[in-house]
Amino acid sequence: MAKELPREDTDLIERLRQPATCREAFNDVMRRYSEPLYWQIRRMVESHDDANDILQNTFLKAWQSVDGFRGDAKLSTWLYKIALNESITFLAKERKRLSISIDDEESHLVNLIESDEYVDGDDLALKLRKAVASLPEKQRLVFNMKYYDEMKYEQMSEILGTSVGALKASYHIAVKKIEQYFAETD
Amino acid sequence: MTVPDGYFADFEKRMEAMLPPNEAAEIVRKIEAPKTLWGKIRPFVYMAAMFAGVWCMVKMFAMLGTGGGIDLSIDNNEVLSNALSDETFIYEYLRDDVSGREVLEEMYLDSISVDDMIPADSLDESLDWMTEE
Repeated sequence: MAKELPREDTDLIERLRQPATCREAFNDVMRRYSEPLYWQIRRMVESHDDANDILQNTFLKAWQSVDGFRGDAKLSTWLYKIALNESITFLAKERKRLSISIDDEESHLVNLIESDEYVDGDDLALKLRKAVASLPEKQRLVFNMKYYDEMKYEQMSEILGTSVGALKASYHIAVKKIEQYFAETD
Repeated sequence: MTVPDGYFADFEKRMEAMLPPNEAAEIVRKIEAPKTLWGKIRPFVYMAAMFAGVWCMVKMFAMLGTGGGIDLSIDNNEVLSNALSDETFIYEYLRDDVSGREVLEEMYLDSISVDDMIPADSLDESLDWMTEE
């Protein structure tokens, strides 16, 4: 059974389907979703420049496939899926380019965090970023979506294609690891 | 974490410039674009040219089928009619084109005697032209 979409999504999808209003509607989509998508991507890749490139690719891909978007899912779900796929592909390419294993990615991300020029000077936030960066990729994704974006498990399940139970377990483990990180570094 | 100043405000404008035209919207725009005079009359010109071509082909086949619309019968040919109505023409034609010897040989093979056909007193004079060779 198809889920009922939010009213603003229905209007926007309708305008996206009409060739005459498609472009203008897509501008509205960018205006509404560029910021939440940016932060989701940025928490995954840590660097602003990389996040900017991935966000641009995300919207380009969304624009190219807008004709095929059937409106079965929420716009945000569709865009998050594209953004996360782009982020994971980027991280895999980076690992290959820098010849680092998935286990060594943590130190690479911590280095990026330490060299990031766009920081707000909050030590606790910086420590949390490092703790999250130490998590495996899937747990990092789940933690970011739940903790920062306050996303419901059902939507996360749609985006990641994982059961709600598995997501709850991943989040629980991620929180435990972060607590452990804080305990060890204090 | 922070972003450069005005990043999100500029992002939409930058993205807008990067987005390629949407194919479906382009097709609709082309369909809805006002037509020029030539664009309006072009189908009719093409149709008229096609009918003209078909008419020319039909005319050509009709001409080929009936000898080009020209009556080629002998009765309506002035030159032939005059020639055939002139007795001296046939006489001169035969005299010019038929060998007298051939005629005599044919008559001999058919067992026709020249003596039976022509009175003896006029024979020499009549056959002079046949034996001229």
